[in-house]
Amino acid sequence: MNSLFLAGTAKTPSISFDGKSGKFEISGRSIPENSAKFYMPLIEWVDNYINSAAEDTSIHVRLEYFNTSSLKSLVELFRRFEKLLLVGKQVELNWYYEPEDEDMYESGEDFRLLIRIPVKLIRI
Amino acid sequence: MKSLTRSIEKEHKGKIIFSYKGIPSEEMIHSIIHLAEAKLDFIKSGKPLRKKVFRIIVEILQNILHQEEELDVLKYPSFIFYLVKEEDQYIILTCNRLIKETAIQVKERIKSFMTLSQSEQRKTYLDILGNGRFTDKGGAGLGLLEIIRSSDGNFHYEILPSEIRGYKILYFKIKVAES
Repeated sequence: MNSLFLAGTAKTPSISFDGKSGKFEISGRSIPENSAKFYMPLIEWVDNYINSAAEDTSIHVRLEYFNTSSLKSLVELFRRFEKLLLVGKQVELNWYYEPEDEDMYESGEDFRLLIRIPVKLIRI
Repeated sequence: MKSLTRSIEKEHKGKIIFSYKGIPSEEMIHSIIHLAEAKLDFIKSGKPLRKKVFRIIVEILQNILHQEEELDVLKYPSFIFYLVKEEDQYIILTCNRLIKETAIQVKERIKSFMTLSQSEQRKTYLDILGNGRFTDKGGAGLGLLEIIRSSDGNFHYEILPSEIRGYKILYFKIKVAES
């Protein structure tokens, strides 16, 4: 399985998807006007990854800022990983937040309600 | 829109830290967000407040961008944005011209969100986030709802008449202080 790396920009996050190890990292800021344009290729990449996924998949999200459009896209992205649970593979989402950032913490809690994969809230 | 601009500038004289009047193109909105962030960093308010103000600015400007309709923009600048710093709070003010039908839709959506309690707003937010369609422009009012939730009730809006037939002016005034 290939890997996918994208450098971050002023509007979009850094992406490091390692298909071999099953480690997925999203970091930086995600405030594009059209989040679907940015996230749809990532969702397609994950759809392909699911077919030959590692036994353990870990997703690490360290975002400084995000807009609501990106949150919608992230819900779509994370839901693609739920298929791994159906075939007995492990997957977890690690959502990082700074202690004073209540909005980031609350968004992590939101994901616990919106997706089926386990969500760990990790204080930086 | 000119009289509104004069009124805002008079009311907040000496406290406006950033303003823009013109066309809300994608490139311009991006530049405004970037410059407003630089201003916020320069003032050195607490990080949580800066982040909250920045998030609201991003949502409100991108929301305006999605509402933008074709206009004779050279003749009718269709958008104004002010960032005001007053003591320990920031005030975000925006006005944009939009077609009358869109204005009515926006008004109905805001009214419906503002009648909800905080817990109902969170439930609606999660419903839209979890069940809404994946579209090019987000949608279903998620950005508006986020702005209303983030402003902790300090959210004021008006639909004002426009000098151009068939259009309205959408005016937002949002106060953000340290929670």
